[in-house]
Amino acid sequence: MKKILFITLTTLLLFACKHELEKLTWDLDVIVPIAHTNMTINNLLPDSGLNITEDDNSFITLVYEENFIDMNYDSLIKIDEEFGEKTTTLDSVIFDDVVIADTASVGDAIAQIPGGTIFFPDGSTNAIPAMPNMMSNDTIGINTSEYFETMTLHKGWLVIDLINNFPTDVSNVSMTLINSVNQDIIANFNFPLIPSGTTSTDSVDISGKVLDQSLIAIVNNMDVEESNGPVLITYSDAIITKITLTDIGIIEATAIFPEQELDSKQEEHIFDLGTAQLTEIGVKEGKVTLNVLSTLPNGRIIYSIPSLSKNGVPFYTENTIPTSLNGEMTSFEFDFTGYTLDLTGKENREGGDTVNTIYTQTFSFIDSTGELVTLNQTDSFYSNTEFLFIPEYAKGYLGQDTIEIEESEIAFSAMNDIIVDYLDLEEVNLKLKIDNYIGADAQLELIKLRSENQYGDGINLFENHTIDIGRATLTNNSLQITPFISETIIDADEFIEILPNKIVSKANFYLNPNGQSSTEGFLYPEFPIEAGLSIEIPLSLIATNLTFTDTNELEIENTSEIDIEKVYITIENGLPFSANLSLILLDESNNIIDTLTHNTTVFPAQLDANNIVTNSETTTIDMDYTDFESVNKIVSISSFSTAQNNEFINIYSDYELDITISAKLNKTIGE
Amino acid sequence: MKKIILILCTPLFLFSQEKLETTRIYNNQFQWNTNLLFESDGLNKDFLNTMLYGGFITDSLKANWINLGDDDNVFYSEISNGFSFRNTKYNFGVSAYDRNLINASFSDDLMKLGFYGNFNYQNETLDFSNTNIRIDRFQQYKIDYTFNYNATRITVGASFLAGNHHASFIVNNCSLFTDTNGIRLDIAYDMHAFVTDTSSLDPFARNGNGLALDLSTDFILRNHKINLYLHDAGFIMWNRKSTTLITDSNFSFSGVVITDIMSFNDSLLDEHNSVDELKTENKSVKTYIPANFGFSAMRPSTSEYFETISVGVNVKWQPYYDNSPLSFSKIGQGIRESNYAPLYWASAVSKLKYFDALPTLSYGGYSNDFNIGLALSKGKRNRFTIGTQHLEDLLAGDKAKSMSVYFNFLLQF
Repeated sequence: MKKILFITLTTLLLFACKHELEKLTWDLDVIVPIAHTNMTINNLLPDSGLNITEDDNSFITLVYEENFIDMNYDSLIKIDEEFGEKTTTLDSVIFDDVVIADTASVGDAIAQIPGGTIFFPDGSTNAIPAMPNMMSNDTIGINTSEYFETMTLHKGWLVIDLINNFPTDVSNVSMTLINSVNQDIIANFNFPLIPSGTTSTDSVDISGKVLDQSLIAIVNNMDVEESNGPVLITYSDAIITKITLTDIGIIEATAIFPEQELDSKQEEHIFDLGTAQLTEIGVKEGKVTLNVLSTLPNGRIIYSIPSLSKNGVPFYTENTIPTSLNGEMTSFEFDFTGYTLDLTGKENREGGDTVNTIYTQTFSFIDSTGELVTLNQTDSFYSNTEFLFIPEYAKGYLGQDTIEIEESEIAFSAMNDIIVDYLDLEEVNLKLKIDNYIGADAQLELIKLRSENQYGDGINLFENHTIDIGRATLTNNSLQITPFISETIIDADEFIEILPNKIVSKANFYLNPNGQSSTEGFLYPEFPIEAGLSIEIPLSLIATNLTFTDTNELEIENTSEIDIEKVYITIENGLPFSANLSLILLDESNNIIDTLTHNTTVFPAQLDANNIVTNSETTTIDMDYTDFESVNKIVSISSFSTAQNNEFINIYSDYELDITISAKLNKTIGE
Repeated sequence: MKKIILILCTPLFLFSQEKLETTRIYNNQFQWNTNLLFESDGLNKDFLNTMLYGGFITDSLKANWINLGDDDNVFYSEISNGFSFRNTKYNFGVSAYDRNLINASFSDDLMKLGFYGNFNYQNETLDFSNTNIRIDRFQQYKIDYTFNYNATRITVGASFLAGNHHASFIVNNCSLFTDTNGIRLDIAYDMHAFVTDTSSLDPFARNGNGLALDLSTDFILRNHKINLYLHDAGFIMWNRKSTTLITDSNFSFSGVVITDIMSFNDSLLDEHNSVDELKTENKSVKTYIPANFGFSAMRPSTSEYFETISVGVNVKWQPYYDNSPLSFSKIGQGIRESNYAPLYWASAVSKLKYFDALPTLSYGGYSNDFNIGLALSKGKRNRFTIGTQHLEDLLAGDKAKSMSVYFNFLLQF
């Protein structure tokens, strides 16, 4: 019992003062790298549009390039013209001659003589006595319905031919031609004597006359003269009366108009290209619009431009023209992209080839339907042609032209945000490079080329300086173009040392300043004149407090999980510059929150006797950690000075600035 | 205070005993054993209490712990409970034990990093090589049989091991160099990690099966009873749901590389915050349980204070992983990787009037130090034994590097 009691008591005492369980916690200090970057001179330069090049020795040259001249040449050779306007009216319509013939035979005449056929048989030889008034008031019907129903003429001739095939003369022939409907006299004819075997012709102007389809020819009188002795009597011998309506010009007619050509134009057109004298244009984009308005029925037009061809095939089109009822125009558009326009005029033209000229052929027709159609003097056929070409190229003399390039400013941002106490660049080359892809001589007159900085200081490089530019050449008269390259290089260190923020320029550009050359010129608008300005700055300099100011967005959220006690920036400087560094934190209103570091010196890399970097120099900046919650921006102000103040230091691309950000972190484990 | 009470009350406890039983042979023996062991060659009770009970670890504590012992710290813990039954007539025995083992070794540098961080070790390399942590929980079901040949006995036994959970973290080589101002961290590591299925943390989850063998022999040699033994030489094969990580890398970290350091925002870090995915694999792995082998020699004592005196050597064998077939080098590997220095021990039995005392003096083991053990046993037929392998640490207070207690109930019938 006692044993049990003691065991129990002991156990209780042993375990009575049991520890209360607590969280196991302890503090931990950790230092870790956060971020790392390796920067070369390229990274250090502000966004400036400067390109960095290096030679075989990695020596850096900064290059600024900008287009200098921007000219548009489309206007030189753009063709946008309208011509070939032509109206053809009804009076231009041609009507074929109407020919009607009538025959009065010997047999018919002898039959009228009592016993004539007995005394004067066919094939006999007899003397024929005189027969006065053999025909008197005889009528002969003339039907022209085959040609017209009615016709009002503004011009025309009625020609009558009497062909005497009688064996005797006839005399005192009198004829009258009248409209059968209204009995209007159209014409009178008199023939005093028509010897045997001859033709007598008479004509009368029937301008202004109205002709019906049914005409009547009245033979007022015809006497047969006595034969000169016995003559062979052949009954088929006859007097043929042939009436011909010719040179018909219609004011109004209801007729079956024959298929006929209304108008034909084969002509050259000269384009107004100023002083340019072009022989050929390659069409990049082009169209010809043929506008036609026809009140004539069954109109048709054939349009051909022999000067315009593709793959050797000239342009040709034939189109039916619908009759316009309300004056609406019909337009035919033709796309000539890819065509070649020969501007030397008509082939084998008299006087030889010309320039700026094309040759076109236009034929307008009315087609016959075989049916009666009524036309009047208001009916017409109108056409014109519009040309719009944007050339792919042009060949020939481009003419003389002066393009004034107005004064302009090129923003030169490379030096923005840079302040320097002293800057001496060993060398700066400004290069004007002009690549002329035009087959024409040119001249660039630099009226002004000047750099200016924000303080109003300026340096003039050029004033009224002229640069001659030769012409480009083609390869086998076609692309590829070998440009003429003109380079003008001048020393421009003072131009840059003022830290300009703009370059002001003004120039005139002269095309073919010396007039036409014996070499045929050309222009491919896709390959214009390229004029560029480049500034090369070999990075060999002496600088004192060359200061770059940069403002960047910064977003760092504070974390409650880890306390950052200190931030270290370790800079391994492989650049031959010492630097003073200031980092300022701003809020979104650009108010200063804190200065992380002020004028902290970063030591330059070690140099040898030739001012070449041999070893990097390490600098560590430690900063107490700041609450970044309200930080929106960080301003970095870096002032660089070359290690040697009296010797130019070359900068090479392999010079590096190695920056590591590390931080000392406090963490309480277990919380 | 508690120690004083325990010391003072122990005699009362011991003296309040029943009348001693006379000696009698019993065929059946049933025992219950409980063993609680925390042993370290450097870390002390103060460290253990803090780990167990929590609290804020001051810089002073950190310094004390790091300066304890040598550069490598071994920590071993075992909590086992179980029973056994033996029939001496038919020479067989069966037992069942629940065993929980932690075997760890880590360097002072790892403690420095873990407690201080790397800030104070700039421009230095912290070496964490040969860090290993192995945690096992399993049940061991053993059957053995004893062959008697005259005065020689050979006992063979086999155990079935029901594995519950295992976790191991083996670092062969690992180092961390922190450059000045933390601009660079050089990390090299070669490590293996293995953990059984964590979807269920049931203490009796079956995640593996294993086998262990026992072999021992007792014989008399020149009046000395010699015992050679090999216990618990075995392994557990863990199932395919286990996760294995083997990684071997070295890299230098100088921070996230960014192109424009002046446009810095922490989202840049997030963009680069992709930790290299550690490639894990699910596969079956074999691990070893700590095997004990050694020998002892016992002889009757001529001293009036001791009835018998025994000496012996115990060696443990527990390689990290099964990476080569059994060979002499594998044996050496297992001995090294057990974190256990060969334990040279001497003990005696002192039959006192009312109890038996079993003092022990040893050197080696996980503590790699001198240890004084004492067990007190009471009873003949039914015996209760309670003891400790680290009596000296019991009196050392918070400076104790080890703590152990075991007790045993024996019933004979």
